[in-house]
Amino acid sequence: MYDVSVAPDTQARVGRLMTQYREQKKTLKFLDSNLWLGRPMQPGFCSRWELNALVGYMDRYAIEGGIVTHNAAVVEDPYAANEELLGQTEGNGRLLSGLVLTTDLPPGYANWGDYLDWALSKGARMVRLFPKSHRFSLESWCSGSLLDSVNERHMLLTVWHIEVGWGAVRMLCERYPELPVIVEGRPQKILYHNRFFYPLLEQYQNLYLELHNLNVYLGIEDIVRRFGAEHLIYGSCMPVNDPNTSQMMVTAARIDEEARRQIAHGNLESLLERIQMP
Amino acid sequence: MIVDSHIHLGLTVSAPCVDKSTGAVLALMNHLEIDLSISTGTALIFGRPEAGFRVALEAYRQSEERILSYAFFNPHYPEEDLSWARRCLEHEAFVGIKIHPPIAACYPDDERWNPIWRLASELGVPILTHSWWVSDYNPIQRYATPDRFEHYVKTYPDVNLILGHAGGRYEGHLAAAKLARAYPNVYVDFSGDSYSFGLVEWFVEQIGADRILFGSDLTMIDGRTVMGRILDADISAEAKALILGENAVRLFGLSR
Repeated sequence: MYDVSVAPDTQARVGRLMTQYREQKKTLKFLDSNLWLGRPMQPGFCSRWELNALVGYMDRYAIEGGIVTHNAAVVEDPYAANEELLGQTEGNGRLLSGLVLTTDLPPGYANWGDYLDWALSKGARMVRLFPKSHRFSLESWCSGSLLDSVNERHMLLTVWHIEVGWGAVRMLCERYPELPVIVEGRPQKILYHNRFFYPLLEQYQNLYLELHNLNVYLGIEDIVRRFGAEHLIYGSCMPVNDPNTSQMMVTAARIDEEARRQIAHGNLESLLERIQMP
Repeated sequence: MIVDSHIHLGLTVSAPCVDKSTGAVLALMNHLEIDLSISTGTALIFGRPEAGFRVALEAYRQSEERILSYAFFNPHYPEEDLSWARRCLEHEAFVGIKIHPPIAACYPDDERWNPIWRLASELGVPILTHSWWVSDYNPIQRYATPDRFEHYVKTYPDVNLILGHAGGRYEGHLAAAKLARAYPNVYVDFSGDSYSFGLVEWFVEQIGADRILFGSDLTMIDGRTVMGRILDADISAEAKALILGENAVRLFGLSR
Protein backbone atom coordinates (compact mmCIF):
# COMPACT_ATOMS: atom_id res chain seq x y z
CA MET A 1 0.00 0.00 0.00
CA TYR A 2 1.14 3.50 -0.85
CA ASP A 3 2.69 5.55 1.95
CA VAL A 4 0.08 8.17 2.86
CA SER A 5 2.74 10.64 3.95
CA VAL A 6 2.48 12.41 0.62
CA ALA A 7 4.46 15.30 -0.73
CA PRO A 8 3.97 18.26 1.61
CA ASP A 9 3.38 20.74 -1.16
CA THR A 10 0.29 18.89 -2.38
CA GLN A 11 -1.10 18.56 1.11
CA ALA A 12 -0.40 22.20 1.88
CA ARG A 13 -2.03 23.33 -1.35
CA VAL A 14 -5.07 21.11 -0.88
CA GLY A 15 -5.37 22.42 2.69
CA ARG A 16 -5.28 26.01 1.46
CA LEU A 17 -7.82 25.34 -1.29
CA MET A 18 -10.13 23.60 1.19
CA THR A 19 -9.98 26.47 3.69
CA GLN A 20 -10.48 29.04 0.96
CA TYR A 21 -13.45 27.13 -0.46
CA ARG A 22 -15.17 26.74 2.91
CA GLU A 23 -14.71 30.47 3.61
CA GLN A 24 -16.17 31.37 0.23
CA LYS A 25 -19.20 29.18 0.92
CA LYS A 26 -19.88 30.98 4.21
CA THR A 27 -19.49 34.38 2.60
CA LEU A 28 -21.98 33.59 -0.15
CA LYS A 29 -24.79 32.65 2.28
CA PHE A 30 -26.31 29.95 0.08
CA LEU A 31 -30.09 29.78 -0.08
CA ASP A 32 -31.17 26.39 -1.40
CA SER A 33 -34.26 26.03 -3.60
CA ASN A 34 -34.10 22.25 -3.68
CA LEU A 35 -34.06 20.48 -0.30
CA TRP A 36 -35.88 17.24 0.50
CA LEU A 37 -37.42 15.56 3.50
CA GLY A 38 -38.70 12.02 3.96
CA ARG A 39 -37.35 8.70 2.73
CA PRO A 40 -36.75 8.38 -1.01
CA MET A 41 -37.80 5.15 -2.72
CA GLN A 42 -34.42 4.52 -4.32
CA PRO A 43 -31.39 3.60 -2.21
CA GLY A 44 -28.54 6.01 -1.58
CA PHE A 45 -25.72 6.70 0.83
CA CYS A 46 -27.73 9.03 3.06
CA SER A 47 -29.62 7.31 5.86
CA ARG A 48 -31.27 10.19 7.73
CA TRP A 49 -34.16 12.09 6.17
CA GLU A 50 -35.88 13.85 9.04
CA LEU A 51 -35.99 17.61 9.52
CA ASN A 52 -33.38 17.74 12.28
CA ALA A 53 -30.92 15.83 10.12
CA LEU A 54 -31.55 18.19 7.20
CA VAL A 55 -30.89 21.23 9.35
CA GLY A 56 -27.68 19.58 10.54
CA TYR A 57 -26.60 19.02 6.93
CA MET A 58 -27.36 22.65 6.13
CA ASP A 59 -25.10 23.76 8.97
CA ARG A 60 -22.38 21.37 7.87
CA TYR A 61 -22.40 22.54 4.25
CA ALA A 62 -22.90 26.27 4.90
CA ILE A 63 -26.43 26.55 3.58
CA GLU A 64 -28.25 29.34 5.38
CA GLY A 65 -31.81 28.52 4.42
CA GLY A 66 -33.97 27.03 1.72
CA ILE A 67 -37.15 25.54 0.39
CA VAL A 68 -37.89 21.94 1.31
CA THR A 69 -40.29 19.42 -0.23
CA HIS A 70 -41.52 16.09 1.15
CA ASN A 71 -40.60 12.99 -0.88
CA ALA A 72 -43.90 11.32 0.02
CA ALA A 73 -45.75 14.17 -1.69
CA VAL A 74 -44.27 13.03 -5.00
CA VAL A 75 -44.93 9.31 -4.71
CA GLU A 76 -47.77 8.87 -2.21
CA ASP A 77 -50.28 11.47 -1.02
CA PRO A 78 -49.41 15.08 -1.90
CA TYR A 79 -51.91 16.69 0.42
CA ALA A 80 -51.16 14.59 3.49
CA ALA A 81 -47.42 14.97 2.92
CA ASN A 82 -47.71 18.72 2.20
CA GLU A 83 -49.62 19.14 5.45
CA GLU A 84 -47.05 17.15 7.38
CA LEU A 85 -44.29 19.24 5.84
CA LEU A 86 -46.02 22.54 6.64
CA GLY A 87 -46.55 21.37 10.20
CA GLN A 88 -42.86 20.66 10.58
CA THR A 89 -41.49 23.78 8.93
CA GLU A 90 -43.99 26.39 10.15
CA GLY A 91 -42.16 28.96 12.21
CA ASN A 92 -38.76 27.57 11.23
CA GLY A 93 -36.63 30.60 10.59
CA ARG A 94 -34.54 28.90 7.91
CA LEU A 95 -36.91 26.69 5.95
CA LEU A 96 -39.86 27.43 3.69
CA SER A 97 -41.97 24.77 2.00
CA GLY A 98 -42.43 23.51 -1.52
CA LEU A 99 -45.85 21.96 -2.18
CA VAL A 100 -46.48 19.14 -4.60
CA LEU A 101 -49.85 19.64 -6.31
CA THR A 102 -51.94 17.86 -8.90
CA THR A 103 -55.10 19.10 -10.59
CA ASP A 104 -57.19 17.52 -7.79
CA LEU A 105 -58.39 20.11 -5.35
CA PRO A 106 -57.24 19.28 -1.80
CA PRO A 107 -59.91 17.68 0.40
CA GLY A 108 -62.11 20.29 2.07
CA TYR A 109 -61.30 23.11 -0.36
CA ALA A 110 -63.66 24.52 -2.98
CA ASN A 111 -61.02 26.49 -4.89
CA TRP A 112 -57.26 26.75 -5.31
CA GLY A 113 -57.02 30.27 -3.95
CA ASP A 114 -58.20 29.29 -0.48
CA TYR A 115 -55.79 26.37 -0.31
CA LEU A 116 -52.79 28.34 -1.54
CA ASP A 117 -53.52 31.22 0.84
CA TRP A 118 -53.71 28.78 3.73
CA ALA A 119 -50.45 27.14 2.63
CA LEU A 120 -48.74 30.51 2.18
CA SER A 121 -49.70 31.45 5.73
CA LYS A 122 -48.00 28.25 6.89
CA GLY A 123 -44.73 28.93 5.04
CA ALA A 124 -45.31 27.47 1.55
CA ARG A 125 -43.65 29.46 -1.24
CA MET A 126 -43.11 27.01 -4.09
CA VAL A 127 -45.36 24.68 -6.10
CA ARG A 128 -43.90 21.61 -7.74
CA LEU A 129 -45.80 19.87 -10.55
CA PHE A 130 -45.18 16.37 -11.95
CA PRO A 131 -47.56 16.17 -14.93
CA LYS A 132 -46.04 13.03 -16.43
CA SER A 133 -45.83 10.94 -13.25
CA HIS A 134 -49.15 12.25 -11.91
CA ARG A 135 -50.91 12.03 -15.25
CA PHE A 136 -52.28 15.47 -16.06
CA SER A 137 -51.68 18.15 -18.63
CA LEU A 138 -50.33 21.65 -18.14
CA GLU A 139 -52.73 22.92 -20.80
CA SER A 140 -55.48 25.32 -19.69
CA TRP A 141 -58.27 22.81 -20.19
CA CYS A 142 -56.71 20.58 -17.54
CA SER A 143 -54.72 22.69 -15.07
CA GLY A 144 -55.78 26.25 -15.91
CA SER A 145 -57.43 27.10 -12.59
CA LEU A 146 -54.50 25.71 -10.58
CA LEU A 147 -51.88 27.57 -12.63
CA ASP A 148 -53.94 30.78 -12.67
CA SER A 149 -54.06 30.72 -8.86
CA VAL A 150 -50.33 30.04 -8.51
CA ASN A 151 -49.63 32.81 -11.00
CA GLU A 152 -51.88 35.35 -9.20
CA ARG A 153 -49.79 34.86 -6.07
CA HIS A 154 -46.45 34.85 -7.92
CA MET A 155 -45.50 31.66 -6.14
CA LEU A 156 -42.48 29.83 -7.54
CA LEU A 157 -43.38 27.08 -10.00
CA THR A 158 -40.79 24.31 -10.26
CA VAL A 159 -40.79 21.52 -12.84
CA TRP A 160 -38.37 18.76 -13.87
CA HIS A 161 -37.53 18.83 -17.56
CA ILE A 162 -38.23 15.12 -17.98
CA GLU A 163 -41.72 15.63 -16.50
CA VAL A 164 -42.81 18.40 -18.85
CA GLY A 165 -40.51 18.75 -21.86
CA TRP A 166 -39.10 22.06 -23.10
CA GLY A 167 -42.16 22.84 -25.23
CA ALA A 168 -44.32 22.93 -22.10
CA VAL A 169 -41.72 25.07 -20.31
CA ARG A 170 -42.03 27.56 -23.17
CA MET A 171 -45.82 27.44 -22.99
CA LEU A 172 -45.76 28.20 -19.24
CA CYS A 173 -43.31 31.10 -19.64
CA GLU A 174 -45.35 32.53 -22.50
CA ARG A 175 -48.74 32.19 -20.86
CA TYR A 176 -47.65 33.48 -17.44
CA PRO A 177 -44.93 36.12 -17.88
CA GLU A 178 -45.14 37.11 -14.19
CA LEU A 179 -44.81 33.54 -12.94
CA PRO A 180 -41.26 32.41 -12.06
CA VAL A 181 -40.77 29.06 -13.80
CA ILE A 182 -37.81 27.12 -12.37
CA VAL A 183 -36.50 24.07 -14.25
CA GLU A 184 -34.58 21.38 -12.37
CA GLY A 185 -32.56 18.61 -13.95
CA ARG A 186 -33.75 15.74 -11.84
CA PRO A 187 -33.39 12.82 -12.06
CA GLN A 188 -31.56 13.41 -15.31
CA LYS A 189 -29.11 16.26 -15.68
CA ILE A 190 -29.93 19.21 -17.91
CA LEU A 191 -26.38 19.13 -19.06
CA TYR A 192 -26.47 18.86 -22.86
CA HIS A 193 -29.86 20.63 -23.08
CA ASN A 194 -28.33 24.00 -24.01
CA ARG A 195 -29.93 23.86 -27.43
CA PHE A 196 -33.34 23.90 -25.75
CA PHE A 197 -32.83 26.34 -22.92
CA TYR A 198 -30.58 28.93 -24.58
CA PRO A 199 -33.34 30.13 -26.95
CA LEU A 200 -35.80 30.09 -24.07
CA LEU A 201 -33.50 32.15 -21.82
CA GLU A 202 -33.20 34.62 -24.66
CA GLN A 203 -36.97 34.98 -24.93
CA TYR A 204 -38.30 34.67 -21.39
CA GLN A 205 -37.26 36.71 -18.38
CA ASN A 206 -39.34 34.49 -16.10
CA LEU A 207 -37.38 31.30 -16.83
CA TYR A 208 -34.89 30.16 -14.17
CA LEU A 209 -32.52 27.20 -14.12
CA GLU A 210 -31.69 25.46 -10.87
CA LEU A 211 -28.07 24.47 -10.49
CA HIS A 212 -27.73 21.01 -8.93
CA ASN A 213 -27.60 19.24 -12.27
CA LEU A 214 -26.73 22.18 -14.53
CA ASN A 215 -23.19 20.91 -14.76
CA VAL A 216 -22.29 22.10 -18.23
CA TYR A 217 -18.57 22.71 -18.66
CA LEU A 218 -18.11 26.50 -18.38
CA GLY A 219 -21.91 26.70 -18.32
CA ILE A 220 -22.35 29.26 -15.56
CA GLU A 221 -19.85 31.66 -17.08
CA ASP A 222 -21.47 31.32 -20.50
CA ILE A 223 -25.06 31.76 -19.26
CA VAL A 224 -24.10 34.80 -17.19
CA ARG A 225 -22.23 36.31 -20.12
CA ARG A 226 -25.11 35.78 -22.55
CA PHE A 227 -28.19 36.27 -20.40
CA GLY A 228 -27.05 37.73 -17.07
CA ALA A 229 -26.92 36.08 -13.65
CA GLU A 230 -30.64 36.63 -13.02
CA HIS A 231 -31.71 33.29 -14.48
CA LEU A 232 -29.70 31.02 -12.19
CA ILE A 233 -30.90 29.73 -8.82
CA TYR A 234 -28.78 27.73 -6.40
CA GLY A 235 -30.20 24.31 -5.50
CA SER A 236 -28.55 21.17 -4.17
CA CYS A 237 -31.10 18.33 -4.12
CA MET A 238 -29.72 17.51 -0.69
CA PRO A 239 -29.68 14.95 0.84
CA VAL A 240 -29.99 12.95 -2.38
CA ASN A 241 -27.00 14.79 -3.76
CA ASP A 242 -23.89 16.39 -2.31
CA PRO A 243 -24.45 20.17 -2.16
CA ASN A 244 -20.81 20.81 -3.01
CA THR A 245 -21.59 19.79 -6.57
CA SER A 246 -23.28 23.08 -7.29
CA GLN A 247 -21.64 25.15 -4.56
CA MET A 248 -18.17 25.10 -6.09
CA MET A 249 -19.64 25.88 -9.49
CA VAL A 250 -20.65 29.18 -7.90
CA THR A 251 -17.70 29.88 -5.60
CA ALA A 252 -15.17 29.15 -8.35
CA ALA A 253 -17.12 30.63 -11.26
CA ARG A 254 -15.19 33.24 -13.18
CA ILE A 255 -17.91 35.87 -12.84
CA ASP A 256 -18.05 39.03 -10.74
CA GLU A 257 -18.83 38.92 -7.05
CA GLU A 258 -22.29 40.45 -7.45
CA ALA A 259 -23.28 37.77 -9.98
CA ARG A 260 -22.03 35.11 -7.57
CA ARG A 261 -24.17 36.54 -4.76
CA GLN A 262 -27.20 36.69 -7.04
CA ILE A 263 -26.89 33.02 -7.92
CA ALA A 264 -26.08 31.86 -4.38
CA HIS A 265 -29.00 33.62 -2.71
CA GLY A 266 -30.01 36.96 -4.25
CA ASN A 267 -32.16 35.73 -7.12
CA LEU A 268 -34.18 33.38 -4.93
CA GLU A 269 -34.60 36.09 -2.27
CA SER A 270 -35.95 38.48 -4.89
CA LEU A 271 -38.46 35.95 -6.12
CA LEU A 272 -39.61 35.21 -2.58
CA GLU A 273 -40.11 38.93 -1.92
CA ARG A 274 -42.43 39.18 -4.93
CA ILE A 275 -44.88 36.58 -3.65
CA GLN A 276 -48.33 38.00 -2.91
CA MET A 277 -49.13 36.99 0.64
CA PRO A 278 -52.78 36.60 1.71
CA MET B 1 0.55 18.25 -7.61
CA ILE B 2 -3.14 18.20 -8.58
CA VAL B 3 -3.99 15.86 -11.44
CA ASP B 4 -7.26 15.55 -13.34
CA SER B 5 -7.05 12.05 -14.76
CA HIS B 6 -10.23 12.08 -16.84
CA ILE B 7 -10.86 14.83 -19.36
CA HIS B 8 -11.79 15.01 -23.04
CA LEU B 9 -10.58 17.30 -25.76
CA GLY B 10 -12.80 17.80 -28.77
CA LEU B 11 -16.48 17.93 -29.50
CA THR B 12 -19.25 15.36 -29.07
CA VAL B 13 -22.20 16.58 -31.07
CA SER B 14 -24.86 15.34 -28.65
CA ALA B 15 -23.18 17.25 -25.82
CA PRO B 16 -23.08 20.93 -26.70
CA CYS B 17 -19.80 22.42 -25.55
CA VAL B 18 -19.36 26.10 -24.70
CA ASP B 19 -15.70 26.19 -25.73
CA LYS B 20 -13.83 23.04 -26.76
CA SER B 21 -10.46 24.75 -27.21
CA THR B 22 -7.32 23.63 -25.44
CA GLY B 23 -6.83 27.24 -24.36
CA ALA B 24 -10.13 27.20 -22.44
CA VAL B 25 -9.19 23.94 -20.73
CA LEU B 26 -5.83 25.38 -19.74
CA ALA B 27 -7.43 28.55 -18.40
CA LEU B 28 -9.74 26.50 -16.18
CA MET B 29 -6.85 24.28 -15.07
CA ASN B 30 -4.96 27.40 -14.04
CA HIS B 31 -7.98 28.82 -12.25
CA LEU B 32 -8.49 25.59 -10.26
CA GLU B 33 -4.72 25.06 -9.74
CA ILE B 34 -4.74 21.76 -11.63
CA ASP B 35 -1.18 20.95 -12.69
CA LEU B 36 -1.79 18.09 -15.12
CA SER B 37 -4.77 16.65 -16.97
CA ILE B 38 -5.07 13.43 -18.92
CA SER B 39 -7.36 13.54 -21.92
CA THR B 40 -9.05 11.16 -24.30
CA GLY B 41 -9.70 13.10 -27.48
CA THR B 42 -13.13 12.63 -28.98
CA ALA B 43 -11.57 12.09 -32.40
CA LEU B 44 -9.73 9.06 -30.99
CA ILE B 45 -12.92 7.73 -29.39
CA PHE B 46 -15.08 8.17 -32.46
CA GLY B 47 -12.88 6.60 -35.08
CA ARG B 48 -10.48 9.26 -36.36
CA PRO B 49 -7.24 8.05 -34.79
CA GLU B 50 -4.88 10.10 -36.92
CA ALA B 51 -6.72 13.35 -36.13
CA GLY B 52 -6.95 12.34 -32.48
CA PHE B 53 -3.23 11.67 -32.33
CA ARG B 54 -2.49 15.11 -33.81
CA VAL B 55 -4.87 16.87 -31.40
CA ALA B 56 -3.23 15.13 -28.44
CA LEU B 57 0.26 16.13 -29.51
CA GLU B 58 -0.81 19.69 -30.20
CA ALA B 59 -2.44 19.92 -26.75
CA TYR B 60 0.72 18.52 -25.16
CA ARG B 61 2.79 21.15 -26.92
CA GLN B 62 0.39 24.04 -26.34
CA SER B 63 0.02 23.19 -22.66
CA GLU B 64 3.78 22.92 -22.18
CA GLU B 65 3.40 19.23 -21.37
CA ARG B 66 0.54 19.70 -18.88
CA ILE B 67 -2.16 17.97 -20.93
CA LEU B 68 -1.32 14.30 -21.36
CA SER B 69 -3.39 11.72 -23.21
CA TYR B 70 -4.79 8.22 -23.31
CA ALA B 71 -4.61 6.03 -26.37
CA PHE B 72 -7.94 4.47 -27.35
CA PHE B 73 -9.05 1.03 -28.48
CA ASN B 74 -12.26 -0.08 -30.19
CA PRO B 75 -12.39 -3.91 -30.28
CA HIS B 76 -14.19 -3.93 -33.62
CA TYR B 77 -11.11 -2.49 -35.32
CA PRO B 78 -8.43 -4.51 -33.53
CA GLU B 79 -5.57 -4.26 -35.99
CA GLU B 80 -5.90 -0.56 -36.77
CA ASP B 81 -6.59 0.55 -33.20
CA LEU B 82 -3.93 -1.67 -31.69
CA SER B 83 -1.43 -0.25 -34.11
CA TRP B 84 -2.51 3.32 -33.25
CA ALA B 85 -2.44 2.59 -29.53
CA ARG B 86 1.10 1.31 -29.82
CA ARG B 87 2.13 4.32 -31.88
CA CYS B 88 0.51 6.73 -29.39
CA LEU B 89 2.13 5.09 -26.41
CA GLU B 90 5.56 5.42 -27.96
CA HIS B 91 5.16 9.17 -27.42
CA GLU B 92 5.72 10.62 -23.93
CA ALA B 93 2.42 12.55 -24.15
CA PHE B 94 0.50 9.28 -23.81
CA VAL B 95 0.40 7.64 -20.40
CA GLY B 96 -2.50 5.16 -20.52
CA ILE B 97 -5.26 3.54 -22.56
CA LYS B 98 -8.95 4.41 -22.57
CA ILE B 99 -11.73 1.94 -23.43
CA HIS B 100 -15.47 2.58 -23.62
CA PRO B 101 -17.48 -0.66 -23.84
CA PRO B 102 -20.94 0.98 -24.33
CA ILE B 103 -19.72 2.96 -27.34
CA ALA B 104 -18.46 -0.28 -28.85
CA ALA B 105 -21.55 -2.20 -27.61
CA CYS B 106 -19.18 -4.93 -26.47
CA TYR B 107 -19.28 -6.42 -22.97
CA PRO B 108 -16.12 -5.78 -20.93
CA ASP B 109 -15.41 -9.49 -20.53
CA ASP B 110 -15.64 -10.18 -24.27
CA GLU B 111 -12.57 -11.86 -25.73
CA ARG B 112 -12.24 -9.05 -28.28
CA TRP B 113 -10.83 -6.79 -25.56
CA ASN B 114 -7.94 -9.15 -24.89
CA PRO B 115 -5.44 -7.53 -27.31
CA ILE B 116 -5.55 -4.17 -25.53
CA TRP B 117 -5.16 -5.73 -22.10
CA ARG B 118 -2.17 -7.65 -23.42
CA LEU B 119 -0.68 -4.40 -24.75
CA ALA B 120 -1.29 -2.62 -21.42
CA SER B 121 0.46 -5.47 -19.66
CA GLU B 122 3.37 -5.40 -22.09
CA LEU B 123 3.87 -1.63 -21.79
CA GLY B 124 2.99 -1.31 -18.12
CA VAL B 125 0.32 1.37 -18.55
CA PRO B 126 -3.07 1.68 -16.83
CA ILE B 127 -6.43 1.30 -18.56
CA LEU B 128 -9.19 3.81 -17.92
CA THR B 129 -12.67 2.54 -18.70
CA HIS B 130 -16.10 4.07 -18.66
CA SER B 131 -18.16 2.27 -16.01
CA TRP B 132 -21.83 2.78 -15.17
CA TRP B 133 -25.04 1.00 -14.23
CA VAL B 134 -28.17 0.21 -16.22
CA SER B 135 -31.25 2.41 -15.95
CA ASP B 136 -34.56 2.51 -17.80
CA TYR B 137 -33.48 5.57 -19.74
CA ASN B 138 -29.91 4.43 -20.34
CA PRO B 139 -29.97 0.70 -21.20
CA ILE B 140 -26.75 0.84 -23.25
CA GLN B 141 -24.93 1.03 -19.91
CA ARG B 142 -25.40 -2.74 -19.58
CA TYR B 143 -22.05 -2.87 -21.37
CA ALA B 144 -20.32 -0.97 -18.56
CA THR B 145 -21.27 -2.55 -15.25
CA PRO B 146 -18.20 -2.97 -12.99
CA ASP B 147 -18.75 -6.70 -12.36
CA ARG B 148 -18.13 -7.48 -16.04
CA PHE B 149 -14.55 -6.24 -15.77
CA GLU B 150 -13.57 -8.96 -13.33
CA HIS B 151 -12.44 -11.40 -15.98
CA TYR B 152 -9.63 -9.19 -17.28
CA VAL B 153 -8.76 -7.68 -13.90
CA LYS B 154 -8.14 -11.23 -12.71
CA THR B 155 -6.36 -12.33 -15.88
CA TYR B 156 -4.01 -9.33 -15.89
CA PRO B 157 -3.16 -8.57 -12.25
CA ASP B 158 -0.26 -6.41 -13.45
CA VAL B 159 -2.59 -4.03 -15.30
CA ASN B 160 -4.22 -1.30 -13.23
CA LEU B 161 -7.82 -0.60 -14.25
CA ILE B 162 -9.52 2.71 -13.44
CA LEU B 163 -13.30 2.44 -13.28
CA GLY B 164 -14.19 5.88 -14.60
CA HIS B 165 -17.27 7.34 -12.88
CA ALA B 166 -16.86 4.70 -10.13
CA GLY B 167 -19.80 2.74 -11.51
CA GLY B 168 -21.96 5.75 -12.27
CA ARG B 169 -25.04 5.12 -10.17
CA TYR B 170 -25.78 3.66 -6.73
CA GLU B 171 -25.78 -0.03 -7.73
CA GLY B 172 -22.75 0.61 -9.89
CA HIS B 173 -20.93 2.19 -6.96
CA LEU B 174 -21.59 -0.92 -4.89
CA ALA B 175 -20.29 -3.11 -7.70
CA ALA B 176 -17.23 -0.90 -8.24
CA ALA B 177 -16.32 -0.98 -4.56
CA LYS B 178 -16.80 -4.75 -4.48
CA LEU B 179 -14.44 -5.22 -7.39
CA ALA B 180 -11.88 -2.82 -5.91
CA ARG B 181 -11.99 -4.59 -2.55
CA ALA B 182 -11.34 -7.91 -4.24
CA TYR B 183 -8.56 -6.78 -6.60
CA PRO B 184 -5.72 -4.39 -5.71
CA ASN B 185 -5.30 -3.40 -9.36
CA VAL B 186 -8.72 -1.67 -9.47
CA TYR B 187 -9.04 2.12 -9.05
CA VAL B 188 -12.03 4.44 -9.35
CA ASP B 189 -12.54 8.08 -10.31
CA PHE B 190 -15.46 10.39 -9.48
CA SER B 191 -15.82 11.96 -12.91
CA GLY B 192 -19.22 12.43 -14.48
CA ASP B 193 -22.42 13.25 -12.66
CA SER B 194 -22.40 10.77 -9.78
CA TYR B 195 -23.25 13.33 -7.14
CA SER B 196 -24.68 11.15 -4.38
CA PHE B 197 -24.60 12.58 -0.89
CA GLY B 198 -21.78 10.94 1.08
CA LEU B 199 -20.29 9.17 -1.95
CA VAL B 200 -16.70 10.36 -1.43
CA GLU B 201 -16.69 9.37 2.24
CA TRP B 202 -18.32 6.02 1.46
CA PHE B 203 -15.71 5.09 -1.15
CA VAL B 204 -12.82 6.08 1.09
CA GLU B 205 -14.26 3.89 3.82
CA GLN B 206 -14.81 0.99 1.42
CA ILE B 207 -11.56 0.88 -0.53
CA GLY B 208 -9.23 3.41 1.11
CA ALA B 209 -8.08 6.73 -0.32
CA ASP B 210 -5.09 5.37 -2.20
CA ARG B 211 -7.04 3.98 -5.17
CA ILE B 212 -9.34 6.92 -5.84
CA LEU B 213 -8.54 9.50 -8.49
CA PHE B 214 -9.75 12.99 -9.23
CA GLY B 215 -11.37 13.06 -12.66
CA SER B 216 -13.68 15.75 -13.98
CA ASP B 217 -14.99 14.59 -17.38
CA LEU B 218 -14.12 18.00 -18.78
CA THR B 219 -15.17 19.18 -21.42
CA MET B 220 -18.46 17.35 -21.10
CA ILE B 221 -18.99 18.20 -17.46
CA ASP B 222 -17.71 21.04 -15.32
CA GLY B 223 -14.91 19.79 -13.07
CA ARG B 224 -15.84 22.12 -10.23
CA THR B 225 -18.69 19.72 -9.44
CA VAL B 226 -16.10 17.09 -8.53
CA MET B 227 -13.39 19.17 -6.93
CA GLY B 228 -15.74 20.81 -4.42
CA ARG B 229 -16.98 17.45 -3.20
CA ILE B 230 -13.45 16.23 -2.55
CA LEU B 231 -12.21 19.44 -0.92
CA ASP B 232 -15.16 19.57 1.48
CA ALA B 233 -15.50 15.82 2.16
CA ASP B 234 -15.33 14.46 5.70
CA ILE B 235 -12.04 12.68 5.07
CA SER B 236 -8.51 13.47 6.19
CA ALA B 237 -6.31 16.08 4.54
CA GLU B 238 -3.92 13.26 3.57
CA ALA B 239 -6.75 11.42 1.81
CA LYS B 240 -7.72 14.56 -0.12
CA ALA B 241 -4.13 15.04 -1.30
CA LEU B 242 -3.97 11.43 -2.43
CA ILE B 243 -7.22 11.67 -4.37
CA LEU B 244 -6.53 15.05 -5.91
CA GLY B 245 -3.10 14.19 -7.19
CA GLU B 246 -0.69 11.90 -5.44
CA ASN B 247 -2.44 8.69 -6.48
CA ALA B 248 -2.30 9.72 -10.13
CA VAL B 249 1.37 10.66 -9.84
CA ARG B 250 2.11 7.16 -8.57
CA LEU B 251 -0.23 5.30 -10.94
CA PHE B 252 0.87 7.02 -14.14
CA GLY B 253 4.49 7.44 -13.08
CA LEU B 254 4.21 11.23 -13.38
CA SER B 255 6.92 13.42 -12.02
CA ARG B 256 8.00 16.91 -12.88
